[in-house]
Amino acid sequence: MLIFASLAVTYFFVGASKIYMEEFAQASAPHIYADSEKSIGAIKIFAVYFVPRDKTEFTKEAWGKPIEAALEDLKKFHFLQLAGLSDIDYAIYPKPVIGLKEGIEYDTETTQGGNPRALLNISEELENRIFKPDGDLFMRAFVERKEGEYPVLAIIYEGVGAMGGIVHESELEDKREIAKEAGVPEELIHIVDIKSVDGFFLTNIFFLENKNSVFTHEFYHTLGIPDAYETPGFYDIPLGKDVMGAGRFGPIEKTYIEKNTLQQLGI
Amino acid sequence: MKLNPIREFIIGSRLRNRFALFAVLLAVAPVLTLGGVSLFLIDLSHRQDVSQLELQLIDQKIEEIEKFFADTLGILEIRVGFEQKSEIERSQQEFVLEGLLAENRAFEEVSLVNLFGMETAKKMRFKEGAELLDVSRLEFFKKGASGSNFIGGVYYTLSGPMITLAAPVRNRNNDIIQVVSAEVNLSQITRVIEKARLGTVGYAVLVDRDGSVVAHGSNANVVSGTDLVRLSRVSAVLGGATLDALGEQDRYRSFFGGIDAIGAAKKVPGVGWAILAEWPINDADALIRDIRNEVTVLALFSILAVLLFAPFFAGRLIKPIRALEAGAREIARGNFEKLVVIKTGDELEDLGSTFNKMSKGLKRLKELQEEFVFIAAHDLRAPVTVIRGYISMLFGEEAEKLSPKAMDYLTQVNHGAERLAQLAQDLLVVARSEAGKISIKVLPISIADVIKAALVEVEPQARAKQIVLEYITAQNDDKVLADIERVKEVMANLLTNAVKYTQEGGSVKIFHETKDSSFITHVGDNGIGIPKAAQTEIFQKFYRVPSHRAHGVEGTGLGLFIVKQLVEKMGGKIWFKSEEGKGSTFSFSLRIYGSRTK
Repeated sequence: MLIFASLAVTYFFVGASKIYMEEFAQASAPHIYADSEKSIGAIKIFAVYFVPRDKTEFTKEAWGKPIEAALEDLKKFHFLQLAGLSDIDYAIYPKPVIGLKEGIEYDTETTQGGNPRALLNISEELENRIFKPDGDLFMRAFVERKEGEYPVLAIIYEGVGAMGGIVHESELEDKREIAKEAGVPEELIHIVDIKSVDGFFLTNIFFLENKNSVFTHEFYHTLGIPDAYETPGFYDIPLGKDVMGAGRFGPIEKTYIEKNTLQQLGI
Repeated sequence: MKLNPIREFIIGSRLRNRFALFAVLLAVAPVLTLGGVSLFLIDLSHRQDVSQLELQLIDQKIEEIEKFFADTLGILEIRVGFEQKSEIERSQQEFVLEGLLAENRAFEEVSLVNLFGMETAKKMRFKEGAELLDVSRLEFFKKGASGSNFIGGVYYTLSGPMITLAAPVRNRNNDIIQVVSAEVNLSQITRVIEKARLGTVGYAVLVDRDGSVVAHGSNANVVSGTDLVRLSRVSAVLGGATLDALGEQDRYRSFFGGIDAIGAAKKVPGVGWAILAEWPINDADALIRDIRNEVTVLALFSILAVLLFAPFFAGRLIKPIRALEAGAREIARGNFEKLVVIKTGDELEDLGSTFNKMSKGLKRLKELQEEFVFIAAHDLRAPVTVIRGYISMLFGEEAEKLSPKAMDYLTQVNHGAERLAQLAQDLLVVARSEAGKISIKVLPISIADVIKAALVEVEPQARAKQIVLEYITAQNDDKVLADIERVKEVMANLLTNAVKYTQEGGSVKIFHETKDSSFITHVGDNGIGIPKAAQTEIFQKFYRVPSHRAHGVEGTGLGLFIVKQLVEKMGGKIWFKSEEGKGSTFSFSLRIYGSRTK
């Protein structure tokens, strides 16, 4: 017995390693900017190439290719920036959506600030035509998404503009009160009647075909990330070099999201 | 009980097992001790080696990172050849930036900024026509404009980890005239980290100053930018600690693939990053594992071999002792003929020879003793016969002439002579018996006649003590195989004893019994009986029951010994039952003539 005990001690203890175990706290799923209630562990982008009825002659023949490329790049970029904790899935509406109105009717009299009116008007039209089952362009396969996915509408617009934001549901009707409730400046509040998505953005198709990251920049507004630049006068003054600031002018391969911003997303 | 040979081999004897255990201990203890100590020492030295290798790897990588920054930041430290405190001519700025891009492949974007924070020139390696921006609010500009070099935090792009570097541009008078900045691709560093190897699967990990993974050489699926600052060892290193792989927590379950690894870590000075070296224990400790396995196998092999062979060797050691034991037992039985054969060529063989000599000596002693007894008994008989003859004559013809006193003296002498004659007779019988010289002539006889003759002989003594002698003859007419004279001796002895040890007025009863092929004769009395303690010794030569001696009963202590010898020589058996104070019954069996022995 003594011999076997000695043998066991030699085998199991002499020169054997004692392993220190440290609990790896599992990172929680990220959430929208500064709001841990809304998870963005999985995101679904519904991409639509939208052409006002008076601009059909400008419709790109190979419109799907740059959209898909941009979404693929965004998917990779997003996975990297969020350290694999959030993933993007997307669906591209299979044909250009021709608007019921002319471009001016969507853009209205001003397109300043990224053309917010176009985003709101087009979104409401798409809500009715694509997302509602009785819409003339409704396609169940397109609007389907998995449970828990954060839905985002991406409008690739045959017109001017680059704008994005979160759709907050509110009982209030007054912009001032809503701004107060949301804790943001009143000029950032727009009233829109959309239920199918929680975030939406619009970019001119031009931004997809040039080496810049505006498409990505606008997408991140749908997660609530603010701009990292100011525009006190004619020029922008970047406050950061990432995709929300100066980085939006560079190619997506070279840009990033600031760590402070990622922290606000729960990363 | 005869044991199965295999079982006997396994169980063995106590001494053999002690020898075997001793052999096991002797064989295995050095293997275990040496193995354990060597293992401990090798492990100690091995841990030092692992630590040294890991720290060497880290130092080497730190050196390469420092060189990278010296090469990149050094290029950005531009000093122009003029003394004016004005920015570089716009036409020259593009040229300067192109030079920078050409100088170092890690630069992906370079720009010159005037002291108001406006970019005045910008060149990108992969894009034409970069937009000039107002960067006055950005940290790199503020640092550069204040005269310091700037090393930003690592950011993670699809092209790999990158970093912003900036430095002031100075004129000949050392005045700051502009700021130059560069977006630097860290692929060169990540490649260095990813290729770093310890053993076959050990790897290095580079984390930035926030604790995010910049690069690693592990096979684990950990993406760049993964936050590791929550790991205590990462936060400790970023806080300035150096982990040398010798600490209590330096063998741990790694985040990279969940494998057990030995880790060392150091902070990279200047940039505030940290390099971790992790070496999976399976690979790093392969040497120790092999030694441990070898020690275990060797020890197990030794144990098995010794367990298998030790009983054989121990058995060989025990064999001479067993032979001596058997020899001693034979001597105890009175057999001096059997010699002990030990051929070991050592002290045990000497012991065997001495034992045999001792046996021969004892045999000679016994022969001398027997010879002496025989001669003494034989030579005693003649003078005793003469004495008894003359006394008999005196008691016959000359009795009237003797005075009563002389008669009394002569009676005492006669009694003594008779005792002496009996002793001489007994000794002679014993001596003859032991010398094998007693002749037994076994013939079919009628035992009743012999018993009756014996009764006649003891009758005077019985009558003197008023003891009733009763003989119940056998109902059948069986003859027994016996020597008539010896049976007579046996009966005379048993009857004499019965009368001797029975008080006055007692009784002695002789009766028979037939059992199988034996004819049994019982001689029972209601005398003083034999104490229990003496019952096992009663047939021993010269043994006399102490209490009988105390009662003043005379005897030589040879009677029952002779009786037993005679009965056994006639092929019979003798036994008795006795209770102190109640009497004894002595029984002997003889084979019935014409019966078949089993």
